[in-house]
Amino acid sequence: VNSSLNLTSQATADVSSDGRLLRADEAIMRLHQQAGGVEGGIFAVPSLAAIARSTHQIKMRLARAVRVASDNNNIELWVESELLGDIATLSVSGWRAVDANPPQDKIDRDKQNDKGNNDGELLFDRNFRLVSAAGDVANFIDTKSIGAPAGDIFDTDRGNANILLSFMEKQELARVDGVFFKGHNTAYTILADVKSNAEGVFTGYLCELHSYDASATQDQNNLVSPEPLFGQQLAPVLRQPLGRIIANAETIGSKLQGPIRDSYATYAKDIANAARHLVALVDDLGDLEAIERPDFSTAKDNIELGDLSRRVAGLLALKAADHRITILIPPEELIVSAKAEFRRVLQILINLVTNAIRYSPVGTEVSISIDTKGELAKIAVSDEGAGIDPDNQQKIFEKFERLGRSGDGGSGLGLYISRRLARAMGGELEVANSKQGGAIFTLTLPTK
Amino acid sequence: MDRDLEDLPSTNESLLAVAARYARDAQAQCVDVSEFAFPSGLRMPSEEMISSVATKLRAIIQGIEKALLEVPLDTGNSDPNSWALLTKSGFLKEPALIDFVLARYAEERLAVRILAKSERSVTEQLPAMMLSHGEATLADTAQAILASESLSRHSTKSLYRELSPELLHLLVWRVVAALQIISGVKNPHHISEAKKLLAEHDESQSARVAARKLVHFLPEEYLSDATDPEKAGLPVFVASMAAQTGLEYDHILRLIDGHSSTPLAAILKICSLSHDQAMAVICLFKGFDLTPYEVNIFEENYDSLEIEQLEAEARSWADERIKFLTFPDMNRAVNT
Repeated sequence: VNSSLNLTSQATADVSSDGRLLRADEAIMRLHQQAGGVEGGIFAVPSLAAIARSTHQIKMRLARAVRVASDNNNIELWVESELLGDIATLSVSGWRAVDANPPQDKIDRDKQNDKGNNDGELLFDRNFRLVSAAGDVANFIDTKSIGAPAGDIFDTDRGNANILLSFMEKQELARVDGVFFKGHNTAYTILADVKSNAEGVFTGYLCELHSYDASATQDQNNLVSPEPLFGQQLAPVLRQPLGRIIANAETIGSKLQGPIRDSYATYAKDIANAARHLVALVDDLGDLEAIERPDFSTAKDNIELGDLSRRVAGLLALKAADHRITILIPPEELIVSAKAEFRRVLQILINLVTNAIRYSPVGTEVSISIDTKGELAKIAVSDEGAGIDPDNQQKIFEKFERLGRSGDGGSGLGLYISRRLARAMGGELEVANSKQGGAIFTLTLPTK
Repeated sequence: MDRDLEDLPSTNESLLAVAARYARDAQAQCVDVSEFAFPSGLRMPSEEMISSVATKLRAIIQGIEKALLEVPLDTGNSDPNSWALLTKSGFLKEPALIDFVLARYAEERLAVRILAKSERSVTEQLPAMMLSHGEATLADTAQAILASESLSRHSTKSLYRELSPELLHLLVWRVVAALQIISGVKNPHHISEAKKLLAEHDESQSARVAARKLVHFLPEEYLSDATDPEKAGLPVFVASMAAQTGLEYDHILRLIDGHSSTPLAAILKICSLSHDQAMAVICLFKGFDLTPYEVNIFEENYDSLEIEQLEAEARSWADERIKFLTFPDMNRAVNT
């Protein structure tokens, strides 16, 4: 972008209802062309095009700061738009260079333009038909193949082309080794990058081709990854499809796209809720993995167990009220200090009190008491339930142990995690039965 | 594939029912793990908050109806005419609408905190200073902020005028539809008034957007003032944080007003505020709510926080929020 542009420079552009840039002042036209747009073509600067689209959609005036990428830097712009007749007129001012992370459209374009490190690129449209071929691969995929379906280009009888195609059908990012092309004997590693427009709608695939080195792949597979498998590798992959499920189910459930039967809406909301909790589970299992790593450690905060008890009682008050259970907390004047990580102790206590609420008869009391004994601080959660059979009092701290229960929403992870956390903080978590029969879970923590 | 044939759903409805049943089983396990093991530290809504949300929602609907109706319909109670129908339809529970109202609730609370603590009057704050600036954009934008704030202070501004265009568009047409159902006839007057209301709505005149514009055009010598809530005033301070973090204006309001001071500390660090400046801001907004625990965390960690990591964290907050709040086919344009 011309360096003479400054905060006060103003440029305008007209965009039609089908997204075409009808007219633009030089500065905007240059951004459009740098983003791959052509004169009279679809407006290629995603954030500006999105504002034009919204203006057409809701026929209202908009005013927003947006970031766009130029060839030299990132620019933040002030954009005001309004609909004049059937044309969205954008008024762009406040050209301010920013040095923050490049916007996604710039990253995508850089990737697309970076042809030095690969052996070619293939671009497929949303129907998996070849749009273009560039680099070495263009030597054996001739122009006659443009428009051909992906299945006619990859050799599905050899190598792993089938795997790549199945990824593409599901619209997932893919890295597949050992892919062959029809009529060609060289194997490639292919990185298939999902392309989408500014609205996140799938538009096709950009496949990067690299020479496939089978021995290198073998060596790589033999290495033990030092990275946590779930938390850092699988979790991000799982979050994306779950996010789509949530968004789609919410759309159906909210009836915003038209009336549907109430039962359908309820089902859709159930699906959205379940997916939302699956996302939470994915995150939590990542944390569980972290806890089990040998280098896991906790902070040593100065905490006060009475304060924690009151916070937990507050957090779970509604849940307890649902079961008509009263949570008794220690008197405010009783101060018991400990040295442990605040967040983790809170986590353990919430687990214990939630368990107590779940397994106690309706209308009973759950009591939290605190105490100091020598160099140990104690916090106990007792209930008026059936207690825990002495034979099972160790078993319940094992991973996925449910004591034969099912259908109550438990997963058998809560107490396992809690004990691991207690021990990581130099403490212990134990269970016993009270004389009246209820269970008493006692968490001990160091005071120094 | 050894399921009994009778297990297989035969209609769309039963297919959805089966999916929902499985989903509920999965949900139960997830609730268990997430609630037991990893507390999310939700802020329990207070009576005051709930009451404020209800009042504000009524005010929004009332404002829209006032603009649409020549003569108010007689429904026999003090609620807006379309209130009962909109409530029943569930639209008033839409996350984006509730979030907007909660942000306004947070805005009021935070503004009061600045007023209670600051010795500066409004005329000594940045927007007032910009009124006499030679650059017309700055002067006009400052005027818009002050006008919007003044109208809000004197309760003469309809709250719906602060809604984003996308949300206002949805809400207005739903009110029109509700009025149509109540009266039993299609009223062309409502439709033309709705179109007029939407066409006249100018996002740039809301305090939120005007403040963001002021920050965008602010000369460099004033940028540090924009990160001081007492000097900047609440809208400009929040807009400045929004510009630097990429978070939305309302999101920042809600994070500042949240139960923990940690997100605010992260935001201030991203904006490169020094330890002392950040502590002053936190004390201003959190005051007596600040626990010794939070102070300890801040003291031990603030200086060593990595801005890049915090920026990545802030991006994940923004992503989560977008997922939670996005309307289908709306709210796509990115704005901060």
